[in-house]
Amino acid sequence: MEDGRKPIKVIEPGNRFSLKSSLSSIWQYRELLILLSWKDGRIRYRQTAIGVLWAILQPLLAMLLFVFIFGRFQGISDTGIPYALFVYSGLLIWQFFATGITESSNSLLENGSIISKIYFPKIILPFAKVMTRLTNLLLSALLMVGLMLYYHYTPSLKIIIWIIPIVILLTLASASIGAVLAAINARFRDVQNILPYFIQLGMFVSSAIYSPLILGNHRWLIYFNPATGIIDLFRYALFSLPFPAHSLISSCFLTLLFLFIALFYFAKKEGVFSDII
Amino acid sequence: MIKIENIGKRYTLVHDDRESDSLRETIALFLKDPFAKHVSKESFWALRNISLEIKKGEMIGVIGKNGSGKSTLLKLIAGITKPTEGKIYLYGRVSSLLEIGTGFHPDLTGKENIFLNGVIMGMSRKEVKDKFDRIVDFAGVGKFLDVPVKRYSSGMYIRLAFAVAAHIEPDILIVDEVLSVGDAEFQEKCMKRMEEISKIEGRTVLFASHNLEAIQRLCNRTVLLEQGRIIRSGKTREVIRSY
Repeated sequence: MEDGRKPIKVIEPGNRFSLKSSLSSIWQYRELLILLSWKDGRIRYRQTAIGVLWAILQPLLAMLLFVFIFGRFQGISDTGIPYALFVYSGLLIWQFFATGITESSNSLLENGSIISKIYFPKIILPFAKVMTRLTNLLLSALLMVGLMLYYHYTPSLKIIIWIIPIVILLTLASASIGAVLAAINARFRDVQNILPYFIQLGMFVSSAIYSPLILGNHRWLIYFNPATGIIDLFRYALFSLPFPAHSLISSCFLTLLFLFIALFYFAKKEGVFSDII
Repeated sequence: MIKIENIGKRYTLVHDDRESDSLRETIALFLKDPFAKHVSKESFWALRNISLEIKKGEMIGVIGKNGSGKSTLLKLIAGITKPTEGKIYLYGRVSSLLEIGTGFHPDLTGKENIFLNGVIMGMSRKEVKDKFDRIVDFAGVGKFLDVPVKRYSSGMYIRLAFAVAAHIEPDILIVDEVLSVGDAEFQEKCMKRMEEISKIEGRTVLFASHNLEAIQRLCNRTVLLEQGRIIRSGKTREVIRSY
């Protein structure tokens, strides 16, 4: 019958990692990825009173608070930029990054029932969680436009070219780190307990709420946070600041590093997650 | 077609004699006697030395008591869990139906759940769209499509879940004990659909169940599992008689 033909799939012990097969299996399951992220967005605001307004309210309230506390300090914002705009642009990126990591780190545990019943590449779970947040990002970016109108600030046109790379880098960074944490979290639930603490700390170790210039020669400290380069790039494109070569290189490097670890680890552990969750 | 060669699956159980989960007590215990062993490992074979060949269009029954390894066998073929030894060759696209309504979300409407569940089961969105009317028809929930499924009666919920499952059309289908749902009329509908899937559409089916009547009706060949091994295999009638 079909004996001469090659099997479509061979199941055997162990997993070999190849970047190509990892990426192609994600591509193959892209519809599931999109549908899962659509589902999360759909149920998030079911039965809430003000629904998606939360997306705008969160960074807005944080922004007002920071303007009230830090707005009076000299040099906290880069020259010529109202601090409200400066800090809101940082918080926009930071909050996407922070919630993206937090939610995706929980994605394997949360979907345990699907994992134990159906085969699919598990790495799409953290990615779906982060992609859900893109709607929020879009909405809070609209408020950014409103703020600029309010301050009569004309943004640089560079943002038009840079917006897509920024969103891609931000998504990849959040999802890759989230994926690595999700894998650890599946084994050691400690992650859930420590992560909020590090996220809280992380905001101060980034350029989200102050200009890196105030750190002087110690600026490199905040380059360890992958969000820093993305925030700097966003501000470069929006406010025509100098190109943030150093922090951007650091962000790209960390993102690729985490992405590779995530792809490698998930490929190695495919078919094992269902046993440990 | 499926070719299973000498498959085995070993699970490791970890026993931890420390009763507390708190970090403080863990440290205290460690300081008392750093070299004490608190963790012992025990492994057992859930499945061992399984070889089986299933031809295209054949429906094979898998029977055995709880814990005999039926579910593990199905999960291995579905790719959900990895074997410890052996190989499985799959000559076709596999869908597994270990549960109906996998991924159903109570807050989503019937329509939304059909799409979500369909894609989770391995259909493309276009496939779900094309089959949408047939799925709704099969489930008989037409009027409630835009209602969240948490408002459904349990019967409606099950019918909708099974309706999606009945319309996945892989080359190889793996089914675990899902036909024992719904009322007699709906069960008969499900049985008919199963017959269609294998006899008319020529799909390869592996069907595990405790329902010997269903196995007798649907499968020509059956294997009997006990403690992770195949102890009988052959014509369904004979295997069931020895069970």
